[in-house]
Amino acid sequence: MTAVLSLQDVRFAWAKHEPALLHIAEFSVARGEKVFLHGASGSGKTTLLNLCSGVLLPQQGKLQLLGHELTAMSSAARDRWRGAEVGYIFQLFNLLPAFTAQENVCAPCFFSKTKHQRVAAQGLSLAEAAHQLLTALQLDPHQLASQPVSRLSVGQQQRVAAARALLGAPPLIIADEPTSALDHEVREQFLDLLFAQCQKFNTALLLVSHARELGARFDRSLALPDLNRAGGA
Amino acid sequence: MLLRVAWKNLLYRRLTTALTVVAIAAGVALLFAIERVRSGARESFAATVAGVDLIVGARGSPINLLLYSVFHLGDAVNNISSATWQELADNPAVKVAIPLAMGDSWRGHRVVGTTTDYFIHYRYGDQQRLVFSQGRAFENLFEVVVGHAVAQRLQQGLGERLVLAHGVSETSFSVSHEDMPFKVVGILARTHTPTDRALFVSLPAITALHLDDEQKQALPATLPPPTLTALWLKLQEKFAILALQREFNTYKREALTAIIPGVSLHQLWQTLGLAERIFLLLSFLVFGISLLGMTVALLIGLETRRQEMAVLRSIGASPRFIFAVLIVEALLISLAGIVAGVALSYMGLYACEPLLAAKFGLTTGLFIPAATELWYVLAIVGCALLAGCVPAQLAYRNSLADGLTMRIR
Repeated sequence: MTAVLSLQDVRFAWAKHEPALLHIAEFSVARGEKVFLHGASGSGKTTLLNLCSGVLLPQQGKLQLLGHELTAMSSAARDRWRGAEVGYIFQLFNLLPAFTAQENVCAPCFFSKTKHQRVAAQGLSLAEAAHQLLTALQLDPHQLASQPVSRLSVGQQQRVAAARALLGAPPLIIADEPTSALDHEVREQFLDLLFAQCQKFNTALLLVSHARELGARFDRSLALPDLNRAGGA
Repeated sequence: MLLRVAWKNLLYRRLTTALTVVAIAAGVALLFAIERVRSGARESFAATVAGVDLIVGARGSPINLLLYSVFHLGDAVNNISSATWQELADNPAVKVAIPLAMGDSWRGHRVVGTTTDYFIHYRYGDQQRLVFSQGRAFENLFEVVVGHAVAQRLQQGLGERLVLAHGVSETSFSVSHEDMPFKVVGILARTHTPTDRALFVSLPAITALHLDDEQKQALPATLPPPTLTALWLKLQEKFAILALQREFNTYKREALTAIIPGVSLHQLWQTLGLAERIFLLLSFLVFGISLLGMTVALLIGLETRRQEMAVLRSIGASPRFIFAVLIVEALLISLAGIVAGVALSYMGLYACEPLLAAKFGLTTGLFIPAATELWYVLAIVGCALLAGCVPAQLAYRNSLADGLTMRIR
């Protein structure tokens, strides 16, 4: 059980008779490993992430999330599995605007019993766990509580999103361009905090970005074009 | 969680939500108000005359006889003689014969010449009797009893002297009987029937009104009854109704028409039913349009919410959950709309009730939801659910297609 995520000989095309958009011979992320995946816009980054989380299914190949073969699961089971084992951070607009920061952070635990149980196993209530994470990410939970999330700065929003992805200690966090809306200093600070928390929970991080310079700070840095054997993509 | 998400989303989009609720409320209010007025009209229509078994008039259309003798609408083509009245009243099967002589008016209100039997035997609604709110029945020639609505137009009330006019228009061009003012001696309590809008005098008073000037100078002590417009008959035994109706319809001495009020009321209502159904159709259309408004509002919101749906998916919500959120949102909006709409229709009817009652003799039976209205509510909720399915289905499809990484373009 060393690989959190593993892809083998995965081929994907949008339609059956179209040429494959992605063909990945071998790609895996180990437990606690921080992997940076670089790719220009339109290179299939998003498609790859959708494959990794089982939102899209490959036409061919093996796709395992924590040892479970996603292609063999029903879509409902995949939803549950993903909800339990993966945390997500997007580029922008990560948060549910109608909810407070605290509620946003806790939301995944309403959908996943597993995540909820992991929090309970630490001897914490959801609110306490959310409080701890927000504090660890240098946010003031009391100040956050009093304003709508849409009023937060982008940097704050991304840290709330990070706290949400981390809550319930999923073995894998997938981050899709989480820093591209942040300016340089905020970006470095955000990555520092994210790395520290991943370290703490031994969480693997798969971060995708077009900003190649981020790669230096990761355990492993890959370029999608090198990974993808499908021609021309 | 589902309810909370839907509820919070609606609160977050207050303005759109409020506008949509208002649109639905307007549709529902209209639908309910029309339904109320409709059933109120039907009921007060049927309740207009309750104690009468047969109505007899000169030969003519039954509906027409009903209209002029009960609703004071239109005029009799012909009259019946007082001799016939006597003969019918003496018929052993007849318990009471109430004579009606019409043709005069006061400020557009009908003057009905009758006997005091009218006040004793007339029944309306659920076998209710006429009650004098003030004064008494007429006893002398120049005394008049007025209905509730007429009393509202009096300046002094009891004791006031009224000049009756020939014909029935508000400002009678024809002869007014100025030389013969009538004294108001009684005011009837409200009945919500055409009785409210009528004035009652004795039969000899009608005769007196139509004497020529010379005769008016020297009124004889007793005046003969005038010719009658119609007779209301109350029978000893109900089972005799059909036999008597046939007997009077084939009456030898004079050409008569006898009708059973309940039957003719029903026929008349059937005739009016088309207008009723058109009203109902219109209010359904209004409601349909407001449902369409809700669907459009949800659909427009959807495009801007795709990212939000993707976020929901990323934190573990299934596409089904997203579908359900949209449905629940539609349901909450429509429930709020229905509640507001029903409240609105009740408030509107409450405010308009005096007007409706005074102008049209309509009572709307406030605050008692009819069984049909509960069905309406169910049907409305059903329609709202169907309408909510459209955006929900789209959200479901979007959330599958967008996956977890819907980007802002």
